[in-house]
Amino acid sequence: MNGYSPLSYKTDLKPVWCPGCGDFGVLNSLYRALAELKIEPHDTVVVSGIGCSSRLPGYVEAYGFNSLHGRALPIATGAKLASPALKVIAVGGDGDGVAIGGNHFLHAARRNTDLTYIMMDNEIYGLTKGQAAPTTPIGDKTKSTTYGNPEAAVDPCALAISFGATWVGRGFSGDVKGTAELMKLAIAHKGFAFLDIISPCVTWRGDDQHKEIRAKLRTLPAGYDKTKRTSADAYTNEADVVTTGVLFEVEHPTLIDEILEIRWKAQGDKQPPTRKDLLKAFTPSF
Amino acid sequence: MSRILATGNYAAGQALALAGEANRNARGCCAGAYPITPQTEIIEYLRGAVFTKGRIVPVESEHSAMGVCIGASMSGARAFTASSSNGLAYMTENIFAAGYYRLPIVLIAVNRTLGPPWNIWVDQGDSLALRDAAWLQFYCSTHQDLVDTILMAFRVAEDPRILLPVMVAMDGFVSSHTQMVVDVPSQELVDQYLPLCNVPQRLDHSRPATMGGLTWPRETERHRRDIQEAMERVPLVLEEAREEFYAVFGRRPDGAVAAEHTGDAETLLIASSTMAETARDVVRRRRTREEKIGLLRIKQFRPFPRAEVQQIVRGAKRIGVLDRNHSPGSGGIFWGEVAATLQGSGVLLQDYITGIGGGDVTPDVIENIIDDLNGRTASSEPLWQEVAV
Repeated sequence: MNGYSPLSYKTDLKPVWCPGCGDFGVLNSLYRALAELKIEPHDTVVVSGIGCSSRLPGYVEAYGFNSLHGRALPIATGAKLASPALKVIAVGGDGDGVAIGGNHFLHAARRNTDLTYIMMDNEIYGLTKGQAAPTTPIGDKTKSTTYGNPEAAVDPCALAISFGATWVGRGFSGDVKGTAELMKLAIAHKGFAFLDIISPCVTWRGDDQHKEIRAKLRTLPAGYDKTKRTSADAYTNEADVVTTGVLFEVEHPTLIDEILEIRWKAQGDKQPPTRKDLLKAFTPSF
Repeated sequence: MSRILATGNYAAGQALALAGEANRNARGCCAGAYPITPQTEIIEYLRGAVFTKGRIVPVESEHSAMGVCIGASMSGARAFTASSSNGLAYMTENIFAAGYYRLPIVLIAVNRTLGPPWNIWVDQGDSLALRDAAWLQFYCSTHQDLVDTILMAFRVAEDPRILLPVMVAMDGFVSSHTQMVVDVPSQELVDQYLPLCNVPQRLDHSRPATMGGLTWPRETERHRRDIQEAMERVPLVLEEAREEFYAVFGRRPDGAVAAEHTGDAETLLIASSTMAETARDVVRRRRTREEKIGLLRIKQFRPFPRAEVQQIVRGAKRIGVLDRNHSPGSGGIFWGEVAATLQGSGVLLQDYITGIGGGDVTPDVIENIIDDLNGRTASSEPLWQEVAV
């Protein structure tokens, strides 16, 4: 690849998303973040599940994997552990990540696997045409909640923090520049980074969703302490506002660090492993 | 009885809702519901339906959808759901559990090829992968066949001589999303046709019991043999269900198989689902040219109707099986069953795998298959009749 520009990460495949879909903004933010971090396509893997947003890997000039519904994270974990030098980015929707794939979200986070997980959160199942997801607000009428949704919604950021993610942020797809900045931080973070991007579905959540969300946007206050889990309590599960920014960030050994530490101790070595040892340990010889 | 113009999904949703409501004077009905193309409209219909005593529960995955059905059926409710493709694949663990628990659950399988690569169109690979799950399987060819088979499915599944779950399959999009005129019976008639659901092993506070304990080999062998014996009683119970259907609704749905011009046929096609309807037109056209050709539609795949197949194909010189499915390393799955059924008969039996991943099997495709079959002096390995779309 000659130089790093957002356009150089674009493939020839034209997105199949509806006009006005928030996922266009997420894709453009990702192009921008990859270019600004100067990440080589051959060092990057984008893994998705199933859903509208999970079409994204095909649109990024990198290794791509459109996997099974809810299963992006285990596949991303396998790719990262087998080849730790790769930047592994898992992407998908809210239905994919907190419904059918909810268990994987828990375990990838608690292991602090060195992955970036980007959720395109539209509060609905879009690809199957508008059924309630676990993120759909209580009371909402959808195609599967004819008389109103009886279930309380979950906030993926609150889940991620409680699951043990070491970096958690929220963005809005209508703010391409701001979301790209959050993506850069998430990708650069060592450990499990979760970025929830509010990405309007104009087809199944109404034409005005962009406007409505924009009116609810807030940023974190000055002096916000992102290293405390309890700080995020006030900015998750919000009813009438959407707070964007880095909600939580701590340093903690990653899964690979822990595995190497255990191996090092078990073998009685005096020196901690070097990057070369690490690659040797995890890269097959063929 | 009302005649309506409906899609296969809408018709299936109506039939399930009627059957569920018919159990209102017992323990009601319950379904776990999760969307997947092309069946989503069925669960949407059910979520909008109003039941006197029933709950349709939106869940987080297909695995959980069948889990809800298992719990509901164990509590004595009439339980049902619908899924497709990888949804069925993900549901598989609980599908086996439902069969092995002997729970009379009805599942609508809207056939769609399994991914990856991702494709939302029809082939039967998804439900046929579940052929060994202790479920009865029916493959429907028209919307009327679908409605009637769903109603019969509850009657057969809940019969104390059977007590096994039933999968009713239709072709994704070709059936699920196209409209046909269909007679949907009144609630009153469905109430008359379906007895109140009685699951004898249901949870009962007067008989506390733990389901699914640890067994020794001899108990496991007995359990599997019991299932086989129940499967062997299906022909009798299905026949009774058809006769009663005729008595209540005034029409007699197809049973395990349906034969068309097979009496003197020298060339015989075997097909299932909507492909059988296309084949029927081709066979009728060829009959006008006085060709001795016939069609056998296999509707019931589990238990496999060996006796019916053996009897119907007896006079045929050459048989072509149209398979919209594929077992890698073997061939068409209907062909494999037919070959086992006809072993030693000496008849020329050729497999044609076609319409995989939703390829449109038009009359011309079937004409070509018949021409190939008529020109054969020996069978070959399964042939792929690819259809470009």
